[in-house]
Amino acid sequence: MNRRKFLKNSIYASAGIASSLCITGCDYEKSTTITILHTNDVHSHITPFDNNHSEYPDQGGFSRRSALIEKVRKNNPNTLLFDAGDVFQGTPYFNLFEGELEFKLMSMLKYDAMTIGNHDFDNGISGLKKQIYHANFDFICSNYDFSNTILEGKTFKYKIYKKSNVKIGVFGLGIKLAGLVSKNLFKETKYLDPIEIAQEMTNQLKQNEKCDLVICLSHLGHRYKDENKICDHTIAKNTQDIDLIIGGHTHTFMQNPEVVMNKIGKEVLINQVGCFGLYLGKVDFEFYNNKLKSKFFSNLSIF
Amino acid sequence: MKKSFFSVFLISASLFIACNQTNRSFDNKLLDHEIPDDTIINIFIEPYTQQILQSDLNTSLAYSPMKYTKKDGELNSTLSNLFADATFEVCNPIYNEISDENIDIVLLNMGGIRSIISEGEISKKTAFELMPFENQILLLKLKGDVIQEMVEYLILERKSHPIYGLQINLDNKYNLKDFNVNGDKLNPNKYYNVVTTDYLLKGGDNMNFFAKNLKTFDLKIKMRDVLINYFQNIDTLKLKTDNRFIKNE
Repeated sequence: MNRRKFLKNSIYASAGIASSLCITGCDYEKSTTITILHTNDVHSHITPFDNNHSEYPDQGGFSRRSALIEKVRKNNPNTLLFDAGDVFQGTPYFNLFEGELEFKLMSMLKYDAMTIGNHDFDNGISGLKKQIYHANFDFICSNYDFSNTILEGKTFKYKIYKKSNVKIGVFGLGIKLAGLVSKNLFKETKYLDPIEIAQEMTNQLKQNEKCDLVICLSHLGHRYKDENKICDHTIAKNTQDIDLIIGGHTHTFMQNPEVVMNKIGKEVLINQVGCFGLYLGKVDFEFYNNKLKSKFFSNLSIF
Repeated sequence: MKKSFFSVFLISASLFIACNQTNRSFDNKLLDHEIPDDTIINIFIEPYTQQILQSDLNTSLAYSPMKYTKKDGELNSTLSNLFADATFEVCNPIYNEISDENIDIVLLNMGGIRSIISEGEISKKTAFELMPFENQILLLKLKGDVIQEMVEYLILERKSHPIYGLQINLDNKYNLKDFNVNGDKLNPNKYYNVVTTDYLLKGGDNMNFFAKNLKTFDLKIKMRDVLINYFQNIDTLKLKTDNRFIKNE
């Protein structure tokens, strides 16, 4: 190595050390961690499975989930809690109480929002409207147009949450209802193209509203044999500015979120925690000066 | 109040990746905690649970010697075969009361099987978990050419949808080798008695061929009650996969 090159390198090196010291020093106080907790496809599993269940003995249930969520919130008050749909249907609690208990419990656990899954239409839009009354959280649906239905005005196209100094924009995508839900249940609900709507929503949340973090609550499903069927992958790859897709519908148990590159080569996380409230999804986003610096995942099982 | 055992599993491979100036990390610590239930939540749920317990949901109907699932076979599974066979056994006598013909075919959907059967007692609650929906059983008159369409649908689906009355053989590339209806070649002009649910007739799972029926009879029984009725009449549940829909190697 000649002297000149050595000098140049050491200047770079010391500049690097100096700037990194400065970054660590200056940004330390301005760091904010946003914790995103999430469930999907809980399907009315209010209490843990029976002790003699062959697959999930004594697992799940709202009570333990509540304790776990409170523990996380104590650690970090900047926590948001979401559900990606199919809260309804699966146990006698739904047959008897028609979803009232599910929404009351989700309110007690202080859910911030959910998107609507196909089974949430199982008692029709009137059955859903009746239970929305018991919900003290937001319903976010971007690609269902309820304008000619009794659900008009009951849902948000998107919603912005502020935690500390961080702006978190959330939108919701639902699955195509025809062929999955009987028409007499969803009535005049219009299903709009999820990719187009996702682009519209991210543009609104990122460019216009200047959100620091953009989250998509999706009940489209993780992935299908039929490559043409729209899924979370399709949304991740064909859009930009989504940071996290919280998935549902396919009951996919993921140990870690999947990392997919979006259309401008930036990474999108897709996370889904199976079904029946057996797991709690957890993704932490760490910001320095409102700039996303790190992501940390740890899906928690509820035993 | 019960103290529940919490195993908080913080996930998988320890990685640290710098990408687009954003660090991404996975943690794999295994933490074991004992965290009590949330007492307030338990107290809130209790009266609802009591109401459920007051019904006869936990009364034992039958016994299962092992675990059965809808995924224990590729094109037919123990639970899909249970759904189809129980539907035939319970509904054929009902149809015989209004007709002197028998049910030829049963077709339900795999997605409608919502749970497993665990080893141990089978109760009404098991039936509610297997079949939470209020789906009604219908009998449809379908012409042979529509049955052909149904078979083509099943081949494309490659799922263990519950079927009774059809026997379908595929080659190792999932192409149709041959099929029969209760041992006979399909007659494209004959009308067959096909049993399904109102959900599937309305286009559920895109089984759109059901809409091409000549006539519909409501058998006035719910799918869930078919299961309950079936469980009440057996002692031990013995299920197996068979050759009703298979791929030949």
